[in-house]
Formats: sequence, C-alpha cells, structure tokens
Amino acid sequence: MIQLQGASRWYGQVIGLNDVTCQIGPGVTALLGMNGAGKSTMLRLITGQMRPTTGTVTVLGMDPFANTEVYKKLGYCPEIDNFYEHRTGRQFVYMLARFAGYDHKRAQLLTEQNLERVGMATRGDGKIAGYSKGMRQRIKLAQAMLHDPDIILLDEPLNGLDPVGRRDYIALLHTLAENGKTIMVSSHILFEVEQMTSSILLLHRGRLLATGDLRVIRELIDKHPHKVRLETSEPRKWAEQLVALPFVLSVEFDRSGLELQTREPSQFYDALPTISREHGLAVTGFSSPDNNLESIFRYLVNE
Amino acid sequence: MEAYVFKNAFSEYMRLKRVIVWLLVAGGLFMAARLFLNVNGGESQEESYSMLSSLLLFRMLPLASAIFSSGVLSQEIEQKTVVYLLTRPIPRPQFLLLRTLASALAVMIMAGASALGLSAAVYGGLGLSNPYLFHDLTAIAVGSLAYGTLFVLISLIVNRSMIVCLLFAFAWETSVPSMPGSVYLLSVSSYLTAIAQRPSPGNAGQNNPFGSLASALGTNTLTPDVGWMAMACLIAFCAIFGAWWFSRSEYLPREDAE
Repeated sequence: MIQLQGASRWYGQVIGLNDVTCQIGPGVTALLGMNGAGKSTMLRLITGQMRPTTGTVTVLGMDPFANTEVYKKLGYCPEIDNFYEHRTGRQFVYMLARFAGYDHKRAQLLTEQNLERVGMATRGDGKIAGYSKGMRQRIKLAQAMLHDPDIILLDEPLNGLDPVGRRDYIALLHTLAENGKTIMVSSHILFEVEQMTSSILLLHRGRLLATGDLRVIRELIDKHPHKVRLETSEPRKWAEQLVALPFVLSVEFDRSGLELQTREPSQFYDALPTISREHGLAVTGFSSPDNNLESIFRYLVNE
Repeated sequence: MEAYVFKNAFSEYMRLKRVIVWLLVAGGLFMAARLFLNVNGGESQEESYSMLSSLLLFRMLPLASAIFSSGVLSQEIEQKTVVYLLTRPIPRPQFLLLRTLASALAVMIMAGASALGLSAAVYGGLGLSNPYLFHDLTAIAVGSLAYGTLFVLISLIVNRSMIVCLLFAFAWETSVPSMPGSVYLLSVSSYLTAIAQRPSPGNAGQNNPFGSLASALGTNTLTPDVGWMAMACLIAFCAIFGAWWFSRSEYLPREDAE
C-alpha cells in the first residue's frame, strides 16, 4: 500500500528523514520515535504534502504529491491543533466532506455517521474554539475517516485524550484494522503504541532504526541490564534482600528508595511480592526508568 | 464540488465581521466626500467625483484586494489549516482559481458598495445619475480580478506576502502613476483609470485642498482598449502562472517549513 524507497528529505541544512526504505500494508503500524525523529516528515511525504529530496514514495503505486487519486483513498489526521475556530465541529466535518466530492445529502449523512463514530454527535454544534483537546482530536479523526479511505494516517492522535477517550480511540483503530484498512499511527509514547499494535517502525534522528514486531525489540531490550527504582522508607532492608538474588547485578540506595539493575526483569518482578510479604517490607512507589522509548534507542544505537 | 469550493470561500470572505468593516469604510468614503463638497462648493460634480474616486475609491481597491487575497492561501498557511485543504481530492489549480474568484467577487461587492456611497454623496439620492458610475463599477470589477490574481500570485511565491502586497497597494500604486516618462505603464491603476474613462485625476481639482494630492496621481493618456488589453493579459498571466506554481510547490504550515 505504502512504499518508501531510499526516501530522504532535507530542510535546508537539516535532514528530516534519512534514506528510509520500508513497506506498510494493512493493519495498524506504529511509527515510533522521539520528538524530532522524522515521524511527521514521513507522514507528510506519504500524504503528498512534500516531495522527497531523494528516493521515492509511492502510495497505492502512485506518487502521492498533490495527487487527487491518492487523496480519494487516504485519510489524514494531522498533529496540528489548528482549526477554523469560528466553525462548529459539524460544519468543519461537513465542509471537508464536500471537499471530498460528496453532494450535500451524502456529506450530511457522512458527517453524522462519523461524528457518531467518534462520540461527537451530541457535541458537534459547539464552536471549535470552545472544544477541549480531546474533542478536537475526535473531530480530526472524524474528518480523516469520513470518506471511508483505505489508508488512514494519524499523527500523534492520542495527545490530549483522557483515558476513556484513549480506550475508545484505540478500539476504533482496531475495528478499522479488522476491516482491512491500512492504519499508520505516529507516537513518541511506547505504552500507547503497545496498546495499539505490535507492528512498528522505529525512527531515530531521521533514520529507520528498526522495523517489525515490538515484542522482538522488547526481548532485545531485556538482554541488557534493566533498571528498576523502588520507593520505600526502608531502602537498606530492601537492599539487603535484593542483593541476595542471583539475577540482581547492582543496588544503589538513597533516603527515599533504591535503584537496582537486573538481567532478568521478569524473574525480578516475580520475586518482588514474595520478599515484601515474607519480610514485611513496604513499597510506596515503583518505576522502571528503562521502560521508555529513550532507553530503547539507547540500546539499539549502543550508546 | 467546484461550486461548493467557491461558495464556501465566498461565504468565508463575506462573514458578518468583515462586511461590517467594509460597510464602515464605505460610510467613511461617503462622509469624506460630503466633507470635501462642503469645503469646495464650486467644483463641478463630475470633477469632484472623478477626483474623489481616484483619490479614495481606487486607493481602497488594492488595499481591499490585498486583504481579501491573503484569505485565498496565505492565511491558511499561517493558521496551519492548509493541511486539511491540500489533502482533499480537489485539483490544486481549480481550488486556487475558484478561491481567487470568490475573493475577487467579495472585493468587487465591497468596492462597488463604496462606489455607490461616493456617488450618492456627490450626486445625491442613490447616486445613480452619476455618468461615471457604470464605468467605475466596470473598472472595479476588472481591478478586483487584476489585483486579486496578482496578490494571490505574490502570496504563492513570497513568504509573509501581506507586507509586499500592502507596499504595492500603498507605495507603488500611489507613486508610480506620477513618475516621469512611461513608468506609469507599470501601474495597474493607470489601466483602470483608462477603463473607467474618467478624466485623469491629475487634470482635476487644481483649486482645492486635494489638488496637490490629485496632481500627484499623475496623468495618463491610455485608451480604454489598451487598458482592457493590458488587464486581460495581467489577469490571464497571474491566474495561469499562479495555478501552475501552486500545483507543483509545497505549502506547509509556516513554522514547519522553516
């Protein structure tokens, strides 16, 4: 459906995307990368807003730049939070339905259907200027889906959505994917992506660092020492118990807790409640500094 | 779809807030004309209207065009909403031309209302007894298209084009017609004056407070035919070149492009 072949894009002296080659087919694919990794550049190339400086980008076998045939089959939800603020959500979606080539009746019908789908049917008559971030995201999604495109590109779509909104949004993406749509979602938040799909494209500083199954990358990460931080009022007692475990490599503690490194995170997590129960040690907080995108990049580039 | 693109853009340009502003401008022209007539009771109606039209109406026309033309594309780029429009299955040239046409029609209506206001101030009643009114309305229609396509072309090529367009509207169009030799031929205003078939403003109003201003607008001896020909060429060139340029250029929200 979507193919990039050695695609690079320069902004003057700065490179936005660097020699990316990949193919994206039906289902949900996540485009994962930190801010400035080139996610939006890649989506703009695919949506034909920009041309690659070198290489090629094809969508459904066609050059997407200003290509109306491509736009008939492609829906795009941009990252920007800009709208025609004086219009209502309903007017905005209707306007874009008309721009998609539908007559008044059909555009009205599609507007209603899609507002219903994103949970905005009853709130569509308020001016966009008064919408919350979550409502804006929903309206953006409605306009991207309204012409029932085969390909839907969503740039950071979960920004600003509340937990219920996120759950609904992700469920909707799954439904669309089950119906054979090609969905590409960009995000810089790992746990969000894990809820959406396991198929990822990992971008870092404009380069495609990894593609494939997120679980494989997870396993790759787990081969490296994994950092865990425990918040507790008894860090010394905890340290005493933890250093005895064979898979704990190091422990550092301070007044409010301790940070340790383990080679077997899953075994460590299994052992934790047993120690707490048997020795009567409490944990007030728990986090894994490595469980984020930055650490994945660190591992993958061996920094 | 084409009709909707035009209608949508036109209704956007004719939003109540904008219409009120331009109605106030038309009212201002009416008041200025009344004031002028009170101060200079001796001038003939033709001379007074001719001079006021050149000094006020045809100075307002490029200003209105510059403002409305910015709504065709550059405002969408500034406000980042351009992304919604450019990812729709509308051929870019069609999209641009339809919006330009809608913008020119809006300018035509606003400037037409001002012309009627001015005519009413000079001739009394609704101002329909003014022999120059029809010619002026024709020149306004042509001028709306000429300035509109020119300013849209500028906005396609130049970043933050509003400054360039306003400079053109105020500085260029005011100073070039009065420059020596054939330099006045580089001004749109000179051709519109020819199409309007009014006495050249420089020949009118020698004995009144606006005399020096009117003289500064210069004289030209262009025939209406030359005016029509030049404006037709300008409109065609700007529209075709603009459509071609727009169909092959990237238009990203402003800070994303930098």
